[in-house]
Amino acid sequence: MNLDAKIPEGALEDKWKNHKFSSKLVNPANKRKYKVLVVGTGLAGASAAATLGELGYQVETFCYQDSPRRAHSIAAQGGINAAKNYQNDGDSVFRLFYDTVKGGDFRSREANVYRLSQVSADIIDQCAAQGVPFARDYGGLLTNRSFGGAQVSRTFYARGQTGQQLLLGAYGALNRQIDKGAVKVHTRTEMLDVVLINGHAKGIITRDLTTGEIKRHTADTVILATGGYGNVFFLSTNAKGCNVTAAFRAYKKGAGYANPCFTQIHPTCIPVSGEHQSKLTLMSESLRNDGRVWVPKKKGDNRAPGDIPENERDYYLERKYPSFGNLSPRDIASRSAKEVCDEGRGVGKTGLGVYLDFEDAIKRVGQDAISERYGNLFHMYQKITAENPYQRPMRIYPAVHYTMGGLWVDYNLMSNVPGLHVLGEANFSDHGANRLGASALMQGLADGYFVIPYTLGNYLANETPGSISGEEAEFKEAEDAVRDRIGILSGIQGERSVDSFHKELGKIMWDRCGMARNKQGLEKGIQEIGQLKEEYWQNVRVLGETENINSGLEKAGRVADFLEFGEVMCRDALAREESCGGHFREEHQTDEGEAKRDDEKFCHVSVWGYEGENKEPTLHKENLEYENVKLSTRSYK
Amino acid sequence: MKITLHVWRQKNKSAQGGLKKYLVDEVSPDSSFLEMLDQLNEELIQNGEEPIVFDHDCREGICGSCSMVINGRPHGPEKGTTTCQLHMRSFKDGDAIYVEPFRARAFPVLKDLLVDRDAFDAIQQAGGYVSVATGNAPDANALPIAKEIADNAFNAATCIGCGACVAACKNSSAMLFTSAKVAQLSMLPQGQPERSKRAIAMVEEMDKQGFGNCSNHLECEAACPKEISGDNIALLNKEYVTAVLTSKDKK
Amino acid sequence: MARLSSLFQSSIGKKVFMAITGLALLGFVVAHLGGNLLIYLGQDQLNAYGYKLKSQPVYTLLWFARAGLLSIVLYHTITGIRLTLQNRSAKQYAYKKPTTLYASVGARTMILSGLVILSFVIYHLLHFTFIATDPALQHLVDDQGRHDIYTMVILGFQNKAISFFYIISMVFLWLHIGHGGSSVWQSLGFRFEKYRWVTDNIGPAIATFLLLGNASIPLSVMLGIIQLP
Repeated sequence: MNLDAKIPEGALEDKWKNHKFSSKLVNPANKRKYKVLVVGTGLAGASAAATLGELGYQVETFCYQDSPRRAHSIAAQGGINAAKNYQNDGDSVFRLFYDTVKGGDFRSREANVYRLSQVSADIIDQCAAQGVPFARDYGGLLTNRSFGGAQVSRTFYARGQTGQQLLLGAYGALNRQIDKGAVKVHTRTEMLDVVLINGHAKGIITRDLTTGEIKRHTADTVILATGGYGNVFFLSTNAKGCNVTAAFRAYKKGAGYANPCFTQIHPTCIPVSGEHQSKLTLMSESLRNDGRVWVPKKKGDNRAPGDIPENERDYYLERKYPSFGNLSPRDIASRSAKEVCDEGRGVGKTGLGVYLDFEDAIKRVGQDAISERYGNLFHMYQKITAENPYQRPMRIYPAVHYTMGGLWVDYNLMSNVPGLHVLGEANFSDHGANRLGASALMQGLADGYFVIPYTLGNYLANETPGSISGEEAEFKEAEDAVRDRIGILSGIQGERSVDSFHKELGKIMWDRCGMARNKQGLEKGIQEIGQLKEEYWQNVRVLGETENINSGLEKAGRVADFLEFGEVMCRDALAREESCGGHFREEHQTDEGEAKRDDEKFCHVSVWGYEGENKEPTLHKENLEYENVKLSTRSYK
Repeated sequence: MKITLHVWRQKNKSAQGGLKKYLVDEVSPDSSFLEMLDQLNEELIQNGEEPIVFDHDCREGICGSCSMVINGRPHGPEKGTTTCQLHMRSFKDGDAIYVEPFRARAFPVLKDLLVDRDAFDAIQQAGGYVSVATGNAPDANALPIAKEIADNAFNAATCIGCGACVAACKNSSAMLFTSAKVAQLSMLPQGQPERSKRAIAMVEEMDKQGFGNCSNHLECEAACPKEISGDNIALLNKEYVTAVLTSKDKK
Repeated sequence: MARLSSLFQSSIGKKVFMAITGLALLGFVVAHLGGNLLIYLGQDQLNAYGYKLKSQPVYTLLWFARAGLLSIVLYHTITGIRLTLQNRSAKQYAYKKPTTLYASVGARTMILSGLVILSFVIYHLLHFTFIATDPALQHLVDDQGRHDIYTMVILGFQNKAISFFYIISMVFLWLHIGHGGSSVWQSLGFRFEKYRWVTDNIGPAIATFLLLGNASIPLSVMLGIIQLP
């Protein structure tokens, strides 16, 4: 597997500038001859499609939702980072870069992260110009808040719905191109395979989720912006439809899957309430700015929180990490919550929860100010739990949220399959082993608005436009394979629903490959997944017609991919014999229970290559070289 | 809890639909309405009946996918709440609940509770944006915006495009949706250059899509899960008429 | 011109014209009530008012006003019916369990109240303007030789069925204006949080004033408060 990251020459701060200059250009008159398929319409996909449309390419986008505006970026709450230093508190491109690399526990690629920090400021300008209603102060200027893992206020936000506002901005930009005829949208359309011609990604096969029609789409290049794979755990903060299918199909066609075990467990989610639970709801990390996390000091203390006196409370984050306190990075806050609950000090019916208490903040700034900052989050919490967080501390517990791993890409955001570009959460590049709060929106928009429009030319300039007809044998083969798979899935007519398998897989993943992992558990997990997969293909029940709306069939294909993907994830977690960021191997921890990295053996990206049905994937490595930051033990004490 | 459901089942766009009765037992009051439907669907699958199809995605009240009318009210009985955030504790043990799809000629039912809302996208595509190409933006703080204006624009911008306003309206008018979209941009300085053009284009598209006319009943405002104000409709009326009377466009 | 016609055809334009014509009709109804209430000042005052309206140059202007009113009524009625038909076809299907979240009865029955008012107006014109329904009301003249409106009204309202019809019609007018008198401000773009208490209450207030004023006349006749001279 060719894993040349194509990192440009020069000093860190000149790399992107140099690369933009040396990147190949496509003549404006030729751009309209190239067709680009963008799969996914979240922040990365919508911004890429809009910008490429503006540049003159023929763009077609695809989303499984009924409107591009519903992609799951919409649910991001907290904010978007940018090195604007509007607060004059010492922020800079380098500091954002450094925080991100450190936050990722030194497992991301320096050059990519630096570029991300460089373009971050442009994103805010772009979004503000689109009319995104960012929070402002009374002088009319943009205001910021601080977020976990940072000691400066660099997070721009729009109440608790920054994701929706940014996505509506990108959707607006996309609509403008649709109106002009530069972009064509296929909604309720799911990509089921990517087609390679002579080893290059030249098209996709889709299923129209309304009519069931299977269709070939030809292109000169394919861009995947299909998000993360958190739903492999069944319960996560992802939307119900989020899936790994597009990325996993690409993996099966030869694209390397990088660091799949790097998943982020977000510390502030509403705890699970029962078996019926279908998804988990995040409470923005920004709440930790004002909320204090605690559990009772005594085990099994089931007094009401208000009855537990101050000296019997353990504000464990403040105790363990005095300088970052409640703002410690996500992986650390999550693991600490698990620890105290494992000790039997968790709160709530299930004992899997910790308090996030606003009493002090309300005393300090008043209920109105707290409501102004977090009103909609408090409202949402109350809706779900029927408890009033103004009066009683919230109960929170970690939940699967974001996946740092993804398809391997080089500096141009192209995978090892020529012509297949991957943006946003679907790629692996910027967050290392742990993502800092408010960085996902930044990365999605950076990739879509400011990176791919420049780097796409490096691939397209060497390609003859419109050389694909769709009649090639590879297209027919891929289409037939898609049809066969649908036929098989709907033909099994077994005993168990797709969801029941998905739930079981989720439980395996959470137990074996969740917040804490060990060799024995992972090996067991691989075995369990194998058995489940076997049963799946004999015993799944998919009802209804294939040529109609069929939610069971849609899920069936996605869960089939999750089953295989879960195994790759466990293998990755097993192979990475160290603890870093969100990946915590119980065998590798310090005496104080902190993650212990092994930079000598594991300062690399683990890239998995598909070897064929029922064969173990092979591990390839891209070594990470740090020239500008010193690898140090991450300390938030 | 034990719940009796009357759910709209319709095989496809052209088929005749009807309400079908189901009993769901052992419903947890802590489960959401959609989780209760998941539970029913699981039973249906076990019994060999096709599960009920409905739109849903984020299940946290922001994507705007869920689109059902519960006991005659879009998104059900709780004010300011989407179906996915509605919990069974809002109902009583033994309740009978009617579940129907959003109704409007412009939102044809595709199957069961799932409707086609492309008409909303069409309205947005007609002009619901600021024409600024990537890379052309000045520094974000070069254009201060009074907090009050920014807050008002934000209030309009919280619309999640679910279509509850259309479903609640006796006329299936899309005025609340369209007006929220127009209002956000017409309040902000960024939206000024295309202000007239946008209002005209979006209203024309709205009319073309087959929505009804606004009768100022404000059922939309009462049904809106994001509690968008009906004042936006007044604003749109003024924007549109002013635009038609003053714009230099041919149309 | 093209622009104006697109305004006429658009959903918003139609609403705006409904509001403007509605406001004009409301103005007329309020002025008409002012004239009606002269009955409480006695025969002389009322008949003098009627005489003034029929003398030049007011009479010529009156005909212009009547022509204007007639076209406004026609527009308001036809557009109202068209809007209703369009709206029904836009909904196509009623929920099995219909609920109303906010709208008043008046708001939901505008077409009904409107059509009742229209039929009332036709009857009212035949009754008191063209005096075509009751020969006993024809050729009434007071001692100064003026058309004796005062006597005509009292004789007219001594018929209980007719009075009842008038009062019922005024209830429909109350419903219609209770919604319309507030709704116009929304249609014309004048509804803000700060002044909402004014715009939302002005319709019901005027409607109630009209109902009390108009219905009081047949009631007063039947109760013998106003009597023949």
